[in-house]
Amino acid sequence: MEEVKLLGFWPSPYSHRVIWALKLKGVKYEYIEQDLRNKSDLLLQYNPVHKKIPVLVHGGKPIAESLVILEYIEETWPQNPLLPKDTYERALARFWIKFGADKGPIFSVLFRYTEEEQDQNAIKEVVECLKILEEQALGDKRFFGGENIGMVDIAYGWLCHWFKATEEMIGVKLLEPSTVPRLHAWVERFKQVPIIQENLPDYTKLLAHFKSLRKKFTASDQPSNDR
Amino acid sequence: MAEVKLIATTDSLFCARIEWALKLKGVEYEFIEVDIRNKSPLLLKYNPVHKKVPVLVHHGKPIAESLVILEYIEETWKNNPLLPEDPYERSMARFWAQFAGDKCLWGAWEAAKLAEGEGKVKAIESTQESLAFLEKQIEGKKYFGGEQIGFLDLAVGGIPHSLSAMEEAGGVKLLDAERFPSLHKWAQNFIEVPVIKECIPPREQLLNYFNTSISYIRSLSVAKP
Repeated sequence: MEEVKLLGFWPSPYSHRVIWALKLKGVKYEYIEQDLRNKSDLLLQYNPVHKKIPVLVHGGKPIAESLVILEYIEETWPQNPLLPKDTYERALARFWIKFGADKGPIFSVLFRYTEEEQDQNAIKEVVECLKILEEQALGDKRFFGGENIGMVDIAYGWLCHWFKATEEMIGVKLLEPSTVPRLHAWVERFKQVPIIQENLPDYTKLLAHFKSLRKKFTASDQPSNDR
Repeated sequence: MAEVKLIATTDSLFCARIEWALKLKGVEYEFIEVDIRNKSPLLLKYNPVHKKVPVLVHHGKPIAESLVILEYIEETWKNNPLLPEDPYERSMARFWAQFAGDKCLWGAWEAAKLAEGEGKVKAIESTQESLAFLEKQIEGKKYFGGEQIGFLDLAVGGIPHSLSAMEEAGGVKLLDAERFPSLHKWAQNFIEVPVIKECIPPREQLLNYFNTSISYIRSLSVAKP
């Protein structure tokens, strides 16, 4: 079997997507932690285009972009499939994964939210998004993938620890049983899945990391995508 | 009733991609033109989340998002495959398709819509850096897909054509033939392929759309105190 390596960054939800997919399929890999403030030659060699993590390296060949990596993992290690068999269901899964990717900036904006700014529009947009996810993507299913977690669940995994840390940091609770009960229940259920539970960053450390990032963002205008 | 319907407009490169894929695979479909400015009921019914085109409707079931639709078409009609067989090559096609959209197309739009100034210069630089990456990918090849048109050709296909109209409307030069000879040659070649030529959005329509959008956007920034 060819060697699998993963270049990652401990607080990154994108890194974790790849970790979860590899572990769910029982794929052995070597994890190589990256310091994004001081990018290694390895990272620059394997991802010259974006210089970001995660990067999966299989048999010496690198693949960047977490969602592209997830599709690669699915095709290369077909055991414990993360996408449905039915082509229409697969298209729906990909649609919702793309929805999450497109809405990324809406959630990033929360990083700059302060009470003084009273930026209620940012809050409104996030709540709308969460409601759409709950009503149209999740519905009454246990997981986005149905009875078991799939690629869509993995793609939205950041809604647990990472979103919770954002909420705590800005002092606004949005993903609540009172606003989106089914989505809230999904978060709790997702965190209990053994592979997920065993592979989450330390919450306290994550919160501290987010707070220091926020200082950086509020100092400059451009949010970073390196987290 | 047609088994396959495509809800689309004639001035969108995202819609053109889908027509190209269907035609390349010889799939019969009904083209249903909608007015996206007036959000036709058909659009609201088949794409309630985004209310955009294209939407493919197969056996009454709708799929939105052009690259998602392309993957669906590829998996449903297996003749004349658009993606390579090898998973690594497939991941490269997907990676570059995403890159072309995010960095080249939207990058170009940023560069075009801004009025003269430092922001515009930076946006132009950044887009050209991205185009340089794409140039390397097509160097020495007839198509991104090799000897035949593939997924990445369809994903990048409408971009040079759109860029040319954006350049004129926005007063920028981005896809410079001297700096990007392979990309330029591929683009000229691609547009002449009959199946492609049939569905490419007319340049006049694109130019019109970009001119109107850019005037509006620039008028907003002038109006700000």
